[in-house]
Amino acid sequence: MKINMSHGSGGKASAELMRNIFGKYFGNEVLDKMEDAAVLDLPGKIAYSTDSFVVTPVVFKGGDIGKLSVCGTVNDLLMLGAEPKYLTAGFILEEGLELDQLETIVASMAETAKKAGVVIVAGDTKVVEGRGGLFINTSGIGLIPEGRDVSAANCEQGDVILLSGTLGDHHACILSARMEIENNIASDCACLNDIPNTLFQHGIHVKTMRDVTRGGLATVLNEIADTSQCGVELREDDIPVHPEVMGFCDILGLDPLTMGNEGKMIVIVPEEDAEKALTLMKETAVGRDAVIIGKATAGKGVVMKTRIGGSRVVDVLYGEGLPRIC
Amino acid sequence: MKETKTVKIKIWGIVQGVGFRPFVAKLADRFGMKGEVLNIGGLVDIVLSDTPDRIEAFLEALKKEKPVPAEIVHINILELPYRDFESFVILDSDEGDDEAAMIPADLSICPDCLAELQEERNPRFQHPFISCMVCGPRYTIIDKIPYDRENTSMMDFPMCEFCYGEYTNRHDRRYHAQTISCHECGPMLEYRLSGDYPTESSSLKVSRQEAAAIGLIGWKGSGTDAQKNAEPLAWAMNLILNGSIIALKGVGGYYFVCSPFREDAVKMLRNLKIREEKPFAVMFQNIEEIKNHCSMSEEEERLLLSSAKPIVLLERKQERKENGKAPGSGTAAQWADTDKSICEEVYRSSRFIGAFLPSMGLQHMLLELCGPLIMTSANLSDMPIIKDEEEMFALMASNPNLAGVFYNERKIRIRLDDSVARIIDGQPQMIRRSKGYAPVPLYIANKLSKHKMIFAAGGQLKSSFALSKGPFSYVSQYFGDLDSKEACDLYQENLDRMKELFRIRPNLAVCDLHPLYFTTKFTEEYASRHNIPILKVQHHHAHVASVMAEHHLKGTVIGISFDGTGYGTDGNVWGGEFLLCEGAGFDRLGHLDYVRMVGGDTSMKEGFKSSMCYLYHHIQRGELQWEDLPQVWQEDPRWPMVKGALEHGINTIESSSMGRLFDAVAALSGIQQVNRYEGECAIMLENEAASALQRGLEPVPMSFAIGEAGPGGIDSAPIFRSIVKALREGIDKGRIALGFHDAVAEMIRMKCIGIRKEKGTNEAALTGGVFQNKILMEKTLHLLRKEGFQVYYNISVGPNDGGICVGQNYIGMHYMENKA
Ligand SMILES: [Fe+3]
Ligand SMILES: [Mg+2]
Ligand SMILES: [Zn+2]
Ligand SMILES: [Zn+2]
Repeated sequence: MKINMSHGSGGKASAELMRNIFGKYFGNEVLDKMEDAAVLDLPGKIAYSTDSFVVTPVVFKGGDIGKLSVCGTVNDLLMLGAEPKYLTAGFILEEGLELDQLETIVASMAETAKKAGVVIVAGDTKVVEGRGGLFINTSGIGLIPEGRDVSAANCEQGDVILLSGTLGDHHACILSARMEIENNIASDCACLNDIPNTLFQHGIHVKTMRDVTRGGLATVLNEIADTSQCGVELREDDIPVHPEVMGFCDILGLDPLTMGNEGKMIVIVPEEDAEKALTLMKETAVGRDAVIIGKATAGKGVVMKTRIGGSRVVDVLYGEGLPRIC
Repeated sequence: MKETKTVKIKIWGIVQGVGFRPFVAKLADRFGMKGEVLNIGGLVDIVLSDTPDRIEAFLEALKKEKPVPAEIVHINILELPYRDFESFVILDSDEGDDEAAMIPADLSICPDCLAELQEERNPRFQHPFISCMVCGPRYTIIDKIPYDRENTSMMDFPMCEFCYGEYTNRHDRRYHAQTISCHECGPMLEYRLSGDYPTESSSLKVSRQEAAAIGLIGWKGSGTDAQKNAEPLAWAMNLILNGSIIALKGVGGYYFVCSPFREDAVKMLRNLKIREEKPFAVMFQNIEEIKNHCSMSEEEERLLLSSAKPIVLLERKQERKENGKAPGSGTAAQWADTDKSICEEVYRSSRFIGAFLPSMGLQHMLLELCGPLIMTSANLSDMPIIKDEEEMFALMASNPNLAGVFYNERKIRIRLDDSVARIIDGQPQMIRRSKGYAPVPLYIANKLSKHKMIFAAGGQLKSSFALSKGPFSYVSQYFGDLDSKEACDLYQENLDRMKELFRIRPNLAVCDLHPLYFTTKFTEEYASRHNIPILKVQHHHAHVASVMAEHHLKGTVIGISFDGTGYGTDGNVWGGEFLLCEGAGFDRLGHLDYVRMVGGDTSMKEGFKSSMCYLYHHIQRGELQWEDLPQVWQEDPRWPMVKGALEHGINTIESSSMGRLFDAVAALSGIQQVNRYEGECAIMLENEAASALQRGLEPVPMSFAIGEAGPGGIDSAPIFRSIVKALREGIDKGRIALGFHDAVAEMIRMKCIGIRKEKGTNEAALTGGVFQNKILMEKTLHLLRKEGFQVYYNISVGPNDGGICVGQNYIGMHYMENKA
């Protein structure tokens, strides 16, 4: 069966959709009250974030838009040192969407939320004309425990930058699917809870965390360099890229440094904590390929030490495909 | 009898401190002319009373016979009220106001100094740094003007009594020669060997006798100082003959040096420089030696011998294996009968050898011992040339491929690579303007006062910038590609330095349109920091303007601007452009039809990808059938990715690039699949065409469809149809390459005729990196001239992106003139 306009009418079809799909998977104490708003009892400092998800295809190797929409917001909360607690989910469904597919996605969302320790406390669904697509918005709330101060502005000269794993997987996976190319590249889509959890538990002085999403590592590091008034120095050899992803990028002229990921983050710690932080990250499933990729310097911008000992300025992505070579 | 008049001849250029006034006086005496000559604020003024014909003849002789180090940038003639002179006199210098400060370029060793270098009884016998008033380093050692010894890095070497005597003697050829030195007081040749080598001289494989036998003259020198040089020289020779690489400090930076006869050494050098494919320049002792390996015209000989001593691209002769043994490790004595053919590893697939002659005493001495020698800028890949000892020692410590560093303590202030030039159409054309030319300005005719100053930032590749003051444009040296931070830093450092030296405070900044060029971002920041306006100039317009600037063209010009990539005003990638240019503006009158291409910098290097994009484009339009493609192309496993990207618009761009079309044709024809260095596919395609010409083969007929069909008016579909057909028929790829060159030249002819009909313009400018292609250039010149076009091309700056700054400068000047 497919989604049609009646599913968004507020009538019987809507109620069925609520009960058979959203209620079935998301059911929890707050949501089940069916009030106009969720009432939450929250102490202390709160982190609050929102994000919309529009990926095509909606199901891909390694994940789907549902998983993505939970991971995206959970990760954003985590990066501020918060412990994610509650999510809301807004769905925009296009006419013609298969109900089965919707169910798969909602189930995947529920499972991801459970793993990430968040509860979906409010939601909304609209149906629009279209071609069977699906868009999700999530927003989330997390609590920042007393004494935690994680911010891009905290990065100082001499600090060490760690990356949780390989670059470009999600982007390459989505592009492969869009191009209908068969390969083994899977999205890295994942909630990153384990990394901050273990680092904080073991008393690592975490200064800055950022998830490496759209715009890639290049964008994230340039933002950090700007905000913190530090330079960032990377070593080309230390940047992990899966060989199949590298081959994929080569032929399309893409740079893994500017490609999006959905389950990767950087952590910036003082030099004395670096090795310990690396060991802890490697012990987690989402950080098993973690590496130290560079350090903050007295300079400006992001510079990568190349294999031959030179340096290349790493810029943020500008448009698509524009070459400089003459 | 013709009327006699009085004129003032104002000469801008390197005309002070080079014996210019005495030369003018002598010349005037020869002509029997009366008047006066004086230095005035950096210029020379000549006032004469004579007939116009005779004055003209005098000027011709002046330009032709000027002293070697003198450089005339611009001459202006003004008529004065009639004056009667009794004789011709040199007047004392007048301070005047500082019109346009000029600093001489570095000058290669003069014949007099070379003779002294080789003359045993001379006090400067075998002095590696011998120089005089008319030769020696200049720009590379200067700190500030005026060019005096204490303002150069020679200040670390106080003159000895002997040198001071010459320096202060009005009649000596070293009178006021700022770089004067000798064994007693000058820099010494010093050396340090890699840790892998024992440094006791007992381990030197060249014995004293052997050294003497093969002409290591230092050993038989009488002076102890000459002997001091002999030890490092013997080591250098020993290492080179044994197939090692040494670093040698030259004028504008270090060189890596090894023997072009030793394949093992050259391979190691490729390793060291991380340079897989690019040919290496070879330095020869003299013209005769070059002739053993390259063919050479008179013009090429003259260019090789010119004071800048540029690297000249010469067509290589087939190397004849001599009957000698292959050069193996061994002593100098065995060297004499080893094979002296330049190994393929030096030039790889190139049909040219970059040949040049020594420019300093040290190089002469080393070449005499074991030349010819590969002498290539000491840098790694695209990094700047190394100039300081510390950096070179560090490299040697970390790199086992480098056996020794041969240095001296004279500091290099400014890094300069060797210049590269060639002869095209019977005259010299610059490919890389650097040592021996920088920083002598170009004169670009305009009405701006000296208070109007411009900074023109140049491009991204083969970069250089220009700073202008009134009509004089000071073009910087070559910085290579601005991809490394080191190159970018060097660019900025040299900009500051040059602004300081020439006292230029720009009131306008000009840069490229490309948002990703370092120079664009830098200029935006620069302009806002200095609160001056910024002008962004389209890349191919700048190419054409560089030709207009050099030839002082006025009115409209048809610019044929062909290269790899430039950012267009529509956000697309341009590169096969016909632009009608005038003053500071241009109209785009035609271009290669846009083709959607897989983007990114790396894609630009891959000819096979360009080829696939072109094939896909024409198949989509129904101009070509998939089944027509050669089997290998149909079966290429990379298709799905390229097709997928094009179909779904993933990382793609619209491109009218001629460079990419050359790449596509080279790849499709099975000639070259990737550009391992810039332009390799196009160079290989040209090589194939050259070989077809040599073998007397007929070109495969092919042509572009010119008309209104596509938005650019130039459709390559018929070209691809012809090539695909020829490939299926198994036709020699040389014939395909030649046919393609013909088709491009013919297309230019047709387009130009069309534009002339519509716009009435008869002047054409050929520019952009594609016109480094000699066959295309000469074919096009021939066709256009036959049609009566007046054709111009770059002379003093490269047709490649090295010339971009001059074009930007020209457009900036026009912009300022219009504002005024
Ligand atoms: Fe160009
Ligand atoms: Mg986000
Ligand atoms: Zn001399
Ligand atoms: Zn002396």
